[in-house]
Amino acid sequence: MARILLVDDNPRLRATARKILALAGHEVVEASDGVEALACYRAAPADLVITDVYMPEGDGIETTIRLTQEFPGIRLVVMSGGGFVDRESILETAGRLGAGGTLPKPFSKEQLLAAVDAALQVPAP
Amino acid sequence: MTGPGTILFVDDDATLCEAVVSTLETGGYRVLAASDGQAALELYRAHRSEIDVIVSDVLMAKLDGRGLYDAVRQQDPTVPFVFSTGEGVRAAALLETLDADVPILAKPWTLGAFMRAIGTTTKSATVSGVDPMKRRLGTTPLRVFAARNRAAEASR
Repeated sequence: MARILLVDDNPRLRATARKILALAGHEVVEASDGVEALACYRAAPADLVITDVYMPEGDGIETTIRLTQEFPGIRLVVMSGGGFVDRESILETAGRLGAGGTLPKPFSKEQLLAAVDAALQVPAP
Repeated sequence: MTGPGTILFVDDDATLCEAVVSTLETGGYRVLAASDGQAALELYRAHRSEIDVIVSDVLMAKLDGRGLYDAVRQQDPTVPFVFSTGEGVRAAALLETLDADVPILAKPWTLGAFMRAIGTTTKSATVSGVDPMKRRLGTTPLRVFAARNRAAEASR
């Protein structure tokens, strides 16, 4: 299956998502912020990046911009629990800045796997 | 109107502003540059009938890019506008609920991406986006421009 870079500053969320993704057959690499994610991806590109938005070092929007600039066509799903205006508004902006998929939090196991499957349908760069 | 069109370019990065002005003027465009939203708004009010498109950074002192957008759209709801941002969630939050037809350029952008964004947002035949630049600049200045743009971003 796919190698997925999971980026979130919440270790509990990472542990839960890792379990779901691993049970679906995916290999999961974790990063706790955008800076670490960039370093991880540069060292070993993943098939898909799933990133949170609000993180202390290198937020998800900045990470989306950096990754899509450096690796055009990268498969990237941005997840967030809410924007300034409403639950999905920050995700709409993330999509306009290069994220191929978005995932509002909280999400179910089925929603996570559906977002991953949809993202992996896009041909690799 | 001078040349193929007039662009109001707004960014607090002086190096980027200088690169945009010199490159686009070489391509025949007239460029009005401002380093913050308030200065841009004053330029817009003074040259409203001449400006074909506004390209603005988001996070700036005095008046941010969203404030500028809201102010000019209040005066002219159809003025072509492009956002340019390399910042993270603070800038993205300001762009929430933005009209879907307003392009957002992710920095560091290439001149090609810049011209395409302008081309998609403006209805003016005078700012057609690509052809005047291709005809006048060729390929080398584009690479130079892109390198300068990236260097400006890297120095931040």
